Amino acid sequence: MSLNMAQSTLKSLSSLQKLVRTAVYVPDETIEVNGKSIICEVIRTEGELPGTSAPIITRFIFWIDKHTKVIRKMTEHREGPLHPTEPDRNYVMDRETLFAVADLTPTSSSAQNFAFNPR
Amino acid sequence: MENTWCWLAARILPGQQRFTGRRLARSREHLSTPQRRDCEMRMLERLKSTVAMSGSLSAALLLTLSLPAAAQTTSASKDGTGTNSDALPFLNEVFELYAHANSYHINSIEESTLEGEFSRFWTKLMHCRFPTVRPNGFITHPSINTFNMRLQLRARAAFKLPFPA
Repeated sequence: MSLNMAQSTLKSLSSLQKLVRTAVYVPDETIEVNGKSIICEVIRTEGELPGTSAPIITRFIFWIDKHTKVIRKMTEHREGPLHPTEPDRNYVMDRETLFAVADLTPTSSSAQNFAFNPR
Repeated sequence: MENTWCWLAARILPGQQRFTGRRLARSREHLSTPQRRDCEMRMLERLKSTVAMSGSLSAALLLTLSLPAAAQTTSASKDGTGTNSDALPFLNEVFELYAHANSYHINSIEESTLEGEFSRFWTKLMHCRFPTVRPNGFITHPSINTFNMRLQLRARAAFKLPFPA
């Protein structure tokens, strides 16, 4: 349970890749997070939600820290029959996530490789 | 064959009188055979040089047209207006960073709304997570349980009336 929870945040962020079909740069922006100004690359994406009977368009905007390359803010917009029990009704979903803290340590290649040290 | 070349030469050569094949033949009627041959040879020489010149002009035109496209391709990051059509490689790089992160500390505030014809839902969530994955593969949690650190303010629903009040 805790293992799943520990990995879910990273998984959910990396799995957004499946929802992105096209991505374009828009002009850089400086955002305020915890009283700190962060210069960000801004990327707007468009894609479709996979595995749905009717097409559901999903649009993201990512604010990515220019120095650390981590996502500091993202917005998501979905439109379509989002409720599975009501396929004939359209819904609009808007979500905004602000990452007050976003520290990642990438896996080093030496840690990934299996090392065999016979005695 | 030679007639065809002469006709082509008459049609293509710039600044020359526009001969048709018939007019060209008529204009050669008074000439003797060696003179005719000489005329045809000169026409062929001029045709060859014109074709070569138009070929190089076409190549130059193609090069000129392809230069802006090449410039667009090489400026992979952004153009002057700060926009570009290909941010996907960079974005995938960022996603890979998350997929292969060794450890992380992420605090986030997420606010979402779901709006239908007769309903509107609002949700605000705060996540505070910092488990650490050690290089030996063990996942360790700091003393605070991540589940307890998760604060939820959920489902403030404001239902719209289907009829005007």
